[in-house]
Amino acid sequence: MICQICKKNEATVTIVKLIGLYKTELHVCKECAQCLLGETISSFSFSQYNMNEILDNLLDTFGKYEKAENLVKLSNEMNCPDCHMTYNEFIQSGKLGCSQCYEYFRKQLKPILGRLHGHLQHIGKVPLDIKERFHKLKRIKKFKNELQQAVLREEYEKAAKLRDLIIEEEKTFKNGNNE
Amino acid sequence: MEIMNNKNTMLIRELRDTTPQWAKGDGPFNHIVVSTRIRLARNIRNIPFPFKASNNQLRQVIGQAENLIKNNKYFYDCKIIKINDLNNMDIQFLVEKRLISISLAQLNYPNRAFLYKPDEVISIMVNEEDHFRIQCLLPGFQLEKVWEIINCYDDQIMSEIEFAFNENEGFLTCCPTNVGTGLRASIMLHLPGLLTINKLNDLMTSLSNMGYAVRGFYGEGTDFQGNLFQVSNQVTLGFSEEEIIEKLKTASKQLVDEEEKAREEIMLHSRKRIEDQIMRAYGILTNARIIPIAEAIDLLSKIRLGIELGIMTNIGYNIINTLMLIIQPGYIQLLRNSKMNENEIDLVRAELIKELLHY
Repeated sequence: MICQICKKNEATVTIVKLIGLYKTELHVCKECAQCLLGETISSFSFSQYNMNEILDNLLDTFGKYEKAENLVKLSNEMNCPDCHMTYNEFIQSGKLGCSQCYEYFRKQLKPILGRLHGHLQHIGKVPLDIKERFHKLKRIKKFKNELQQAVLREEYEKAAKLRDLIIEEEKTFKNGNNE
Repeated sequence: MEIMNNKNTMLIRELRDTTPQWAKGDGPFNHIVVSTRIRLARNIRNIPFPFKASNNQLRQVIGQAENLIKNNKYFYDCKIIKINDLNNMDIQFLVEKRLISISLAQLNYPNRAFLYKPDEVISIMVNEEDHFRIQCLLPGFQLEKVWEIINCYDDQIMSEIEFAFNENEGFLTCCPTNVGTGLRASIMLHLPGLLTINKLNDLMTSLSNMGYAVRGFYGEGTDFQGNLFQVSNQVTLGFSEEEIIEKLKTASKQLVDEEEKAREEIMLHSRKRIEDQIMRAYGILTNARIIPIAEAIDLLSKIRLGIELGIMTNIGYNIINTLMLIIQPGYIQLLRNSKMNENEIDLVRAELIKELLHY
């Protein structure tokens, strides 16, 4: 495995930090591990589990990774097409500018969310209208699979019915999106 | 403008004179748990989060909150106050009454507001870190009940307003520490027993290691005055609301059990000493002429313990909770309707305490 920090050397060290139930792992080379143990790891040893402190530490660390990877220029240029928040601004403030930032910076956010929450996927409450759209999408997918099977089995009557169902569902799905 | 100021003065006066539901002090396990609170962080779809939004967009968010009162029957009796129309004394009072956060009070952009039910069970901060911070607060230990109420109000708001949400990260918030459910639940506990037998530190450290935050009564950055501790969840993503609540319930119940054991131990071995401390506190509070806030809070905690142990029977939890609110500097200045220095405030505080404890 390649070192997650310098992305050059072979990762020979795994740094594991347990914060309560949440485990974070970092695979790094010997040189980067020495750097980190000097800087980051010491900052990981909180007397209190404080989410904001963790976020600050993470952002600080990620800021350093970017430097290590000579990505400062790139991250300066990266900005959310909706609110124009730059990645560097996020690193500085720990705040995102708008909901689109979550789409745009998803790749960068993933490790941060993983370390903050131990998870990446929301499994809680879903707004009712979104729930309906979500179920509709699933139904369309199911009908499409069945249609494929029906065509393969040369059950053309059934296939035609399924095709109509898909057209109908897709029509209402699009209408739902336009509303 | 003058009409607006008069309206705000009237609303602030009403708030000054009403006891919030939580301060009535009933509810399960009220001999240890003062109150239960849940807040949900929500943002409106297609409007940047408050610190990135334009004044116009922030006004739109307030407009949506005002429309809730007009259009939704759950909100018909709610009032809305715009922070920017208030003077510093009023704002300090609202923070002290646990209705708005210090951040909402201190943010420097215009168009901040808050909306509340007359009993203050439900309140919404508008344009704090997120567009809406919905809060539900009840007395005693009742996480499920608080969740049931706030969930229902959240549904009602969602029937009028579309929130920023995606299927991966859930409800999208300005700070990634709140994303997912946007839910922060907290329990306020009175733990003098555990402190006396020196067990509190270990318990708090293990809670902290389990991912819970521990704060004082007066919020972030304040120490544990009055032996009051707020325990809350920090993880908001990857668990359902019910799971988050259940875990916090288990952790807090453990604290309740340990506190009960500690009190039993104290009553068994040093009953007279505890009784003496409680009665002395009562003596000072009902006779002092000048009293600084830290001393008052410390002594009120002893009276609270007296009620909890059945030693003080002539005073109710409602009196202690009300006193915890009205002895604060902003509250006192609002009651007397004048700006005062610390010495003057200490004088009025002593009068107020005496009045309420003799009541």
